Amino acid sequence: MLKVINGYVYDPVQGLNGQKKDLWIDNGTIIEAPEEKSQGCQVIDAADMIVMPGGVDIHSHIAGPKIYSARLLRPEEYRRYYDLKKRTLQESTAVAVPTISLTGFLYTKMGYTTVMEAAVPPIMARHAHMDLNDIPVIDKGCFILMGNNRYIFDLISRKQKGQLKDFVAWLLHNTGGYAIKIVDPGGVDSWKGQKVICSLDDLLEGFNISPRHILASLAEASDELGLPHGIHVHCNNLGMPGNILTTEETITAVSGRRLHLAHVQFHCYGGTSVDNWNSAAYRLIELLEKNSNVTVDVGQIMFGETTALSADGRLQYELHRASGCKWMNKDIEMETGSGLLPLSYSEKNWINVMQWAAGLELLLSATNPWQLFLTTDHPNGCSFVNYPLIIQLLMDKGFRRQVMQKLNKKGLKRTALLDIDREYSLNDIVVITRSGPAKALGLKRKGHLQVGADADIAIYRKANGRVDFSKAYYVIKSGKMVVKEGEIIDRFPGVTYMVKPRYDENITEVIRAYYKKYSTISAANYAVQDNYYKAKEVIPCT
Amino acid sequence: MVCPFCSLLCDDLTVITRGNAIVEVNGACNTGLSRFINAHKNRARCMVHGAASEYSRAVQAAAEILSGCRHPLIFGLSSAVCEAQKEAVLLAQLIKASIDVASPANLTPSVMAVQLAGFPTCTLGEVKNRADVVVFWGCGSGASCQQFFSRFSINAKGEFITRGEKDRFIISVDTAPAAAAKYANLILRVDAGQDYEVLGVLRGLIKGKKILQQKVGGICLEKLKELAKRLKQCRYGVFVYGTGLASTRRAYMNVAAAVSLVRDLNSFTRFSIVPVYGDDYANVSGVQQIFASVSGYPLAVNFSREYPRYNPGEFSAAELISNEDVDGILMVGAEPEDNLPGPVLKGLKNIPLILINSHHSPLMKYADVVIPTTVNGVGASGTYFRVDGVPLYADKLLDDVGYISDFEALKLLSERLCANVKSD
Repeated sequence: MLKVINGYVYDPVQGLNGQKKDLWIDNGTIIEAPEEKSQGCQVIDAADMIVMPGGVDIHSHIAGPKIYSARLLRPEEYRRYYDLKKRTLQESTAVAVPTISLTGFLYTKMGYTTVMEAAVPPIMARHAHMDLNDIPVIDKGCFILMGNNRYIFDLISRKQKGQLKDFVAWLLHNTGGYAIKIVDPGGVDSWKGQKVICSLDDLLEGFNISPRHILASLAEASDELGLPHGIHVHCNNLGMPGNILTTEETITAVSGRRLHLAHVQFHCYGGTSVDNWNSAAYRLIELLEKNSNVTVDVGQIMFGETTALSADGRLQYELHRASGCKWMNKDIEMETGSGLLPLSYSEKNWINVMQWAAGLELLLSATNPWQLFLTTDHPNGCSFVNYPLIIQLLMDKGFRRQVMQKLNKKGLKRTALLDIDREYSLNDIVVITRSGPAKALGLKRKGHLQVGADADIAIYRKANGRVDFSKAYYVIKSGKMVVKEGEIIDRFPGVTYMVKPRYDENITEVIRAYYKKYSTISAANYAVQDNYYKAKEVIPCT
Repeated sequence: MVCPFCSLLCDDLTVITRGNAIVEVNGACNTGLSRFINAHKNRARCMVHGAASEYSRAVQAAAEILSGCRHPLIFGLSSAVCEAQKEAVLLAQLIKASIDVASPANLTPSVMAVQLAGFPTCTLGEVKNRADVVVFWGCGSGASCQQFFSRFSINAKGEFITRGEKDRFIISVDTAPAAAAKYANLILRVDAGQDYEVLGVLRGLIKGKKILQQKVGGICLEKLKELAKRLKQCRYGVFVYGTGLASTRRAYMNVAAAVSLVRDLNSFTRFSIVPVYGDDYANVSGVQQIFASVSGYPLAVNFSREYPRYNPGEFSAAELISNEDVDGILMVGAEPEDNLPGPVLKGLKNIPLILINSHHSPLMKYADVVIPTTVNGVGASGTYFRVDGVPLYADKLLDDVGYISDFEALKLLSERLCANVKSD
């Protein structure tokens, strides 16, 4: 048994806003205070410290083929982790793709205990699980790419709703997935045939359907299967001026069903061309106010170098054309594509500054923090190690103004950030980094500290009047202390969350025949065997 | 069943076993068939300093050699399963070793080219379903070629290539007659060592540059113009390259030139580049993934300092062995003696060698310790990555009584060395 005493507890779910409260932990979960004094209880004195649930990252890229490709492409980047003079790791260095072990440790040291890998092609799922399985400490899950699957196109165009639902369930079941991911619906596949999808109503070649149909059909399948998390969507037209219209259409397309929009900072632009390109953050906030079925994560960028990687292959190609940097692409049979390249965001470049400011504008003008969560689309916006810095930007307007002085003025003026004085409270921070994402993911034992919750707890110290989010003083994961005085003291595998929705067994034969024709591996070899999970938990569908 | 004997990993074989013997194999190529049927013939025997031994003594002897080394090398691993590869990297970290991949000639140059220029590629299913133009450059001829042709490329029927060979335009570029030439609509014979020049001129031609020479690398300009036109006009092209492209000293520049050509072609159409690795090295794709996930780097890694260092050419096995820069070698999966250049063989004779291998190998005469293993995919299960990065699980076919797997051998060695480190 473990007891955390004297800490100021922040838990919006229970309405705790810095009240002193002791927490009792046994067998990995939070329990009622025992009536009798128990023997052999480990006590953590959190006096003057801030206690909150472990962080939950709803959208990150930490496992699978894209991550390997990024390591392969950029050995120069990884090297920067080491301080040759001090001969130590430089953990604050924002590197796009840390090694497997470091990924777990860096998240844990910040007090994050649950991370979702946001884009896994079904045929590569085994690879993603090998990586996830080896990432220490944190709990995890992965979203399975379905928005450019040609068999799904076929089923939608033939209006086979039942079979679509079964196929989606079959895919999730076999790949150990947690949710449906849709990236640039229809666009990734179209680019393989040299076609560009610009609007939700462009028809896909060979199918009488458009991205709108893909979104609507998969949102329906997701709801009917009762998946814990709604469809997780990377909209069409990422990064284009005026794409707020596409984002709005995407919300319309799902007709009120559950929808999570990823890295919306890249999808909230107004204007019609580079000349009048500006932030339409206010418009997105209005959309969130009107559509309570929608949650979003921000995808904040920070200045510096990173590696961009995405299933949106054409976008990465366009970035390559613009920058001339070395470029990798991988078209994946029947299912999806991907691309990656080195990318940097500059304080002097007005477009980059506008992107930076639009992200903060979104966060600071959100009226309901339960709909909008903090992410950096790691590593696309920047590395996740920047979370503490972003939190400081949100909580301290003086600091924000200081940073803004160094930035390109034209870029700032294309957003409303200069006019915003709001500062986040600690409770707001807990919502956007913990309680909100946990709720949207349907992880009922995460994101709060009520009795019955997983004992994933981050404990921070205050320095100079602010909470030091970069280094948790203690971290308790599954009821065990993993960080003590800022250092990792234990490593053990986390749990992989997945769903196992039911499907009609008869679908298997149909799928087998289809795969035999168009895939290069047999349908039976899709199934990720149990030996790829050190610990797994199936989250029930409702 | 998955065939674990080359990096194409055909996954639809049927293998019938009776007791502990394989009696029938269907769907495999000749190489695969012979490997399955002969899996239990000519096996390695446990040896310590030339004398027959047993596992515990061999592991102890290997641990003694490695713990006495100042700079050991772990080498091979491209036929090992990922689980064993991971164990090997962790072992390299533990004993501060260098670690490198035994690989076909085009692997290290490919990695260097990727780091220089990138790599627009695709899975083999895209070749099968979409490729209406396929260029085979320096692919030579090997048994795996035939599988590559029939399953994934030339003869394969796919979603947009419904008639197979008839719907594809096949181009063969090689220094000598190649297997692809038999099916090719256009055959070009390039002078040895001139690939870089030809690729450069092709890049110029597709961009509409004027070329003054009438002949490049032994090929007439007119033929190259025809090729450039074909490449630009396809719907989805694939450039397949083999060890032939990497047979000269500037191998990585050749691959980088090919990558650049393919990248440029994407301004006009869609084009991907795909490597082929020949008949061995079934898991050479997996070993890079595993190395990178643990150390950050795909091959040629050195752990002698607190942080991993990476430099192909410096920490590559061939150089370390030829220069006798290492004082002990753990080789996992024996290389064919013919594949090794003279200076490497000389090094192997002079440096203490531990060999973990399933079959008898001529290299055993140099080995101080031999630890025999079962054949992966036959007597042991594990993960493989296909040449295009598709991961597959090869389930074991039978219980190979009396033999451990390479994963188990490395694990035992690791545990022994850990115990040694602790008792020190």
